[in-house]
Amino acid sequence: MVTVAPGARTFSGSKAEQANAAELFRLMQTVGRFMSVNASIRLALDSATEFFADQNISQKEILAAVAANPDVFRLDETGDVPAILATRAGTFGAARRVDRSHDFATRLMTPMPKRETGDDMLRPRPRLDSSWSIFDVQTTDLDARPAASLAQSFALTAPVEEAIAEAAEIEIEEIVAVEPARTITVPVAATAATDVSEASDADLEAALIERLGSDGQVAMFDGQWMLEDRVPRFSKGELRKLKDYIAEQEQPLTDEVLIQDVLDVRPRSADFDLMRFALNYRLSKEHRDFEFVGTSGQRFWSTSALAAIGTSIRKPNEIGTDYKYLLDEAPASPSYRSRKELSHVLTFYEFALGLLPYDSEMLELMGAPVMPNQRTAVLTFECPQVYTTYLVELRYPTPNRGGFIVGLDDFYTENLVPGALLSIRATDNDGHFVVEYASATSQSQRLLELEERKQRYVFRPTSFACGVIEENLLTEELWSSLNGEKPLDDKTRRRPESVVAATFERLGKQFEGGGYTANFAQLFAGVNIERPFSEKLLRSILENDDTGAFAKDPDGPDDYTYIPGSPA
Amino acid sequence: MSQPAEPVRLTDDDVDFLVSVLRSATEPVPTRALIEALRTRQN
Repeated sequence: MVTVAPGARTFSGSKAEQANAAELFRLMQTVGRFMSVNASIRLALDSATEFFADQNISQKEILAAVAANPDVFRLDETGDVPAILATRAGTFGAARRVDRSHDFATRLMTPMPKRETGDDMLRPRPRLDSSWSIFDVQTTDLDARPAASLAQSFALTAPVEEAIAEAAEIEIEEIVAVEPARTITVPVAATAATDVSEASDADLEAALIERLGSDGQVAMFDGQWMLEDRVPRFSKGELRKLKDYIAEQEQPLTDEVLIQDVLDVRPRSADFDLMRFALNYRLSKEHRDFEFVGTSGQRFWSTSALAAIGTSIRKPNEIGTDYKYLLDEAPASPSYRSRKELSHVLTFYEFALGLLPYDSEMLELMGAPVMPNQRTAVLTFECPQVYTTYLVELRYPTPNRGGFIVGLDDFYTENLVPGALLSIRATDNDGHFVVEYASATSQSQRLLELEERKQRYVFRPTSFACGVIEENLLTEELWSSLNGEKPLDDKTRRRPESVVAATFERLGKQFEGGGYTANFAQLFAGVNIERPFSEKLLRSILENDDTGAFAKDPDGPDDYTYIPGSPA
Repeated sequence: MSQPAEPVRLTDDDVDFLVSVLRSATEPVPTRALIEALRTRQN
């Protein structure tokens, strides 16, 4: 695997610029860790700025490092947002120089040098018998009237007394200088066929993508290959029709829908597969107008005119920042599609925003991104219990934001409550999933809600018929201290340890000495009211606390204590 | 601790061969088929 370790590479500029360049290069390599060595890695400048904010590296310093190292980084300002470009190899490679010395135009306009012709190169003309040469006449003489007799006007000249060379006897000498024999050296074929007997299919696939994927004569899309000049092209008018149709439908559309509805190619048509490949390949080259947001099983295409899927209560970037802890929990080697089903207990945060976390379990349920820099994937979640299929969006993680699935607001509010138990099952189509909830007898309890207008917590009677985990239910009985309270301020909310401490206090179970105790499951439900936590993150905070604020409670099987006054 | 295997690198000869395979196809060729072609060629 050819990559350049940031530490092994030297950067230009001042010491600070070199250090910043090294960090930036490390970040770029992380972003493009699944890309081929020479593929261009693209990272929005804003994303890099946000990532380095914790390290006190400003955008100005990032740009200075980029400018100081033009061989390693480039700044692309042609798009909607400025982006930093780099490659895993650390260089952009020398531009291919096309050899034009032998093309038609060059040869036509470049005359050959005049060949040297010495006397010895002249070919002697074979002479006729001198008896044929009677007159030595100048043509100008013929114009003048002969003053004398015709015989006198001609001057007989002596026959040429050169050696009479009989043509048959004269050896025609080679007048062309013998050019030295041209030697054409045929390079010995040093590139024999690769030995693939020991290589796995995955290795060969990676080799194909790396070598053929960057070959201009080959077109590739989602595991299919074709010679590029055989892939049908679309006119500007057809591309515009495709774009307008997606905008009219107000949602992303699959390649099959686009081919049938816009290009009028029927599924049973002999060239359906060819046209579908052509559509996907050609649209993947139209970055400005089209974005691939699908999976292998459902190849959705979107345009910039479409509204975002999911909640508008919180911005996607902010949600991604909330899920940043998932980056630390992500596996080094993702095992996509290795899991058939998962179970999940819905939290208050997820219920309020219609979300699911793209944690390690969800990653194992989903397929890998189809495109190298794919940002999102539109999925379909079918709930047989309510005869409804929901269009949701998976936002893939970025270097500084976690991934999540958004768009389940309606499903949650119509059928579930925080604390409900869900199961999500994969199907043969890697873009389609079946989601079900545990059914239960209908019941009514006073459950926590956030009153939107006043932005205060209230408890309202709520009827539900879904199975719930009792300890995860946010009932007034357990969480009465929240009644009328405001959500946590941003400063507290930003620090997970502070959220945990506040949750202990909200639960309000004090013991002698002024400390608080809480059961892990209840704590987990409580910390997940305003920002997401995984069980792993929560346990890490509770069990690895150096300040002594949190500790295991020996009185309970899974209880913890919090003592205020110790800085959390 | 075992060393990670060297990644497979295709040669120019392999590329020419694969291009010839694609040239003989009138429809998109799946990756699987190209891998089989490489293996069959070796055998």
